[in-house]
Amino acid sequence: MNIMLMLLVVPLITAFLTMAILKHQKTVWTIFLAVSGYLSYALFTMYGKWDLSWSIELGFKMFGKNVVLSLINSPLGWFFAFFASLTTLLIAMFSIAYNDEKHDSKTAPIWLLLIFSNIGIFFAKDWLMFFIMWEAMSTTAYFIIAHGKEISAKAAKFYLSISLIGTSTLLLGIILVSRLSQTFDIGVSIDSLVKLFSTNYSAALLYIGLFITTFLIKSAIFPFYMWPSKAYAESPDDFTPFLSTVMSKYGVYGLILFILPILAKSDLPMFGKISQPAYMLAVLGAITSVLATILAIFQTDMKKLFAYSSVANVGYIVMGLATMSVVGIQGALFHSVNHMIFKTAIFLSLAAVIYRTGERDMHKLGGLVYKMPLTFLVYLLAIISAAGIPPLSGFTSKWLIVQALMAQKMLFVVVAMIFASTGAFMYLLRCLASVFLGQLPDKYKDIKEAPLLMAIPMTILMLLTLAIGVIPGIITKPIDAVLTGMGYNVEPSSWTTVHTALAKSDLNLTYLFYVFMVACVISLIMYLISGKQEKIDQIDNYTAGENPLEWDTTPDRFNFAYGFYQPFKQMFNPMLDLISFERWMSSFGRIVERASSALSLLYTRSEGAILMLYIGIAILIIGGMM
Amino acid sequence: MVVINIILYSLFAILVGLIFMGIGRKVSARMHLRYGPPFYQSILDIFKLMSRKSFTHNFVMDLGMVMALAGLLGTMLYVPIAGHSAFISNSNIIVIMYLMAIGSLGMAMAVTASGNPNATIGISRALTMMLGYEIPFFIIVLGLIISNNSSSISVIAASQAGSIWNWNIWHMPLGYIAMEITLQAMMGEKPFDAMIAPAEVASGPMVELSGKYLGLGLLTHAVSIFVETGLMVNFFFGGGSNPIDFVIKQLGIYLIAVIFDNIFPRYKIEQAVKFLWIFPTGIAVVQLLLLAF
Repeated sequence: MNIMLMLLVVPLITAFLTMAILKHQKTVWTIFLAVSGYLSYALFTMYGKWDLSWSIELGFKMFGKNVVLSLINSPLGWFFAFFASLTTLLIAMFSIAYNDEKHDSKTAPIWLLLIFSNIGIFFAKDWLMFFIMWEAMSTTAYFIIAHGKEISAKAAKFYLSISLIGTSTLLLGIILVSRLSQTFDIGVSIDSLVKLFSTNYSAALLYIGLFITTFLIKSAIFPFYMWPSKAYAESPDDFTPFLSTVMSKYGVYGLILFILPILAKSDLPMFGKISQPAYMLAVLGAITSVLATILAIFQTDMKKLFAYSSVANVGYIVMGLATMSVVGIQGALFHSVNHMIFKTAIFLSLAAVIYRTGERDMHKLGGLVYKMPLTFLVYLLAIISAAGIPPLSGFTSKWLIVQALMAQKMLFVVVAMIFASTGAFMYLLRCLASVFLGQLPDKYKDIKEAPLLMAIPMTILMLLTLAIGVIPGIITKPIDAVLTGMGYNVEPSSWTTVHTALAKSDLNLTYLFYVFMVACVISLIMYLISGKQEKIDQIDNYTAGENPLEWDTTPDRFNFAYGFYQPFKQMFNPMLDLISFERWMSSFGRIVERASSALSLLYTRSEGAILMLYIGIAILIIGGMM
Repeated sequence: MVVINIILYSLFAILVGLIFMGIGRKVSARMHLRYGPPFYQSILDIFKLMSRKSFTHNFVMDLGMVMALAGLLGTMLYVPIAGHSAFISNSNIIVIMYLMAIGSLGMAMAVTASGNPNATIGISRALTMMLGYEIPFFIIVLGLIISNNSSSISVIAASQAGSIWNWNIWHMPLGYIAMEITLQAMMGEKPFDAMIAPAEVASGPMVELSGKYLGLGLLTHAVSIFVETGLMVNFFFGGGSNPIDFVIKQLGIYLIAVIFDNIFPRYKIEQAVKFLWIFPTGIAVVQLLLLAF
């Protein structure tokens, strides 16, 4: 059987199989792990075989030809699909341990359907396949986010209504573009849009605007940046990493697949070194990352905090793409993978914390490093990577994007990038300080380290981010294939060094790692040769060695966590009130809700039914008279 | 060979930083009409602190302090000293900016792990301040990168070689003024010392540190002084023709900061950030626009 088809069929069939045995949750999640393992393996063997394809001819005609649904193994699709399934594999392992009696979300079958559509989106060759899979992805994700909880269902509704707007614009775009190019093939439609740009600029801009809207909604780019904070926060804890790392990349994939080639080939008005639409995209990315960073700094709920952080990271990726240069796209693709790795590590370690404590508010936790040292270590390395600090992987991709932006002289965009990544430092440390450091509340005195099955994927992710940080070639080599597939002329990248367009600015990351290690050794020697240290209890230092009980007082615990950046927040409050797009959107949502509930009265209430009857009769009469 | 180089450069930077701190204390004392300690006092302090018995609360404190010093030493190694450096590299500015963050992260982690709310307040202020000064700093750096079409410090320093009139301070005076203000914040000197603020948060980050932890913190500070003044010399003062020239220029820059430190009172943290985002950032943006167009 065709391997491309197998990739689709296996998750689809197992999805229905697992629905039958939904009672045996452990088995279901193990099957889920096995399927993601199979997909990762199959995708791994597919690397380099860019001629694999599959297609089926349907029985009805359109544009004078039979309609064809087809899949193709393109380097770009492979790149996203492989790393997505690798992430899924690690999350799946975590999920087996996470979904016990207490935390069970029973979402495995739907998740398998989601993986099915995931593969379909990344390998689709024509717009019909793409749209079917896109729609399947949007709706299945709704059911996982809702997972049978009232508050989650509310968030899921928000997600669904926003993504319905996205799918509608996508459908409209596909109809217009395929009418123009007289086929559903994606490659052909790119060429016909390029042609349209030379004849009718504003119409072409409208066409790609429809697609861009869809992709921006899916990737939560400004002005649609607010749904993740709801959907990510309320979805099951083990699904959040998938939502945040894999599903936010669909929009990025769409931009690279369809929008970038058009912008690169068309003759467009320029702004500085790059075309105006691309610059617009970069500005949107910049606004997104700055805004999301500021919002993330002020969150007290850790899942909301990292939801905004994901939005900011996708903002970096869009900025990288918008440079339209080799280095920028390389950085964007690299950051996509990095984001998958470190954000999965962060969300999994937080899921482990929630699994043990049942608490999502950061200020109610504290001092967990004493009880969960491994989780702390995973979180620490992941945030070092997320903050873009060498020698971990996040640095390389951010560095590439910054270099590309500077080489293209996109001055204010790059300043926004630096603002966002310095701000990232603030919110990442806020969560570290509030959750893992500080003083341990009494009620968490007996919690244990995360179970083994959770610890394994977290450790693998931690090692991955270190390995990629030291040897960037692991990711840049596949990126070469992607860039070649996109028609860029690239030199084969080296295992250790990353290159940029600026003069004399290349960077050897392996060397950087060695230098940092030597510095660590020097520092460690300083530490070791100096005097002995004694480990004392917190209270000893607090009370200068006195026992509070003897003074008729009880030792209190203080964590500075709730208003961590209060002075800073006060600076931003007026601005945040002004731009609260979310408020505007929710008022819009309320209007829609009222209208639809009024409409539903027509068939749920008897008065409505009678009214409908009369209307029907009236129509009949009028129809008869005409 | 490279390893020995790295060790020697590290010791050099630590020594220079400590002597600077000593001289700074002497200058402050004279401004206060005191006599002041000898210029090598900071070195004596280090020996004293390192040999004392010290208290720790958990392993994160130890890890964080070691990480802080290692991060700053790693950063220092990427800064070319009058064209010399411990190993051959392009001395990329972006690397330096991000490597310096390891130092901040390590310090922040260590002192937060001590569990003292004062320390955590200090850290929250320090990070807010960091966001405040990174913006003008990066805009200045961006101007330098755009005008040289390279993000290598060596290239920027080499472009000013020759006479004193080639220095960037004459080419981009506005950038220099912005950088001088920003540097004050980067070094945590007044008016931008809200994170340490002994009167409000009991020295903030340092409150729970004792003995060798304080010693490591002092060493980190010494190296950070070396790095920050070194960047300034490379950016605006031609990078120095030899290491002695380089160090003298660094000392000059450091003393300016010390003098300002003794003159000004302290900003509240939000005032400091607002100030940094209005004045130095504004000046730097004007400079950037002048360079770009």
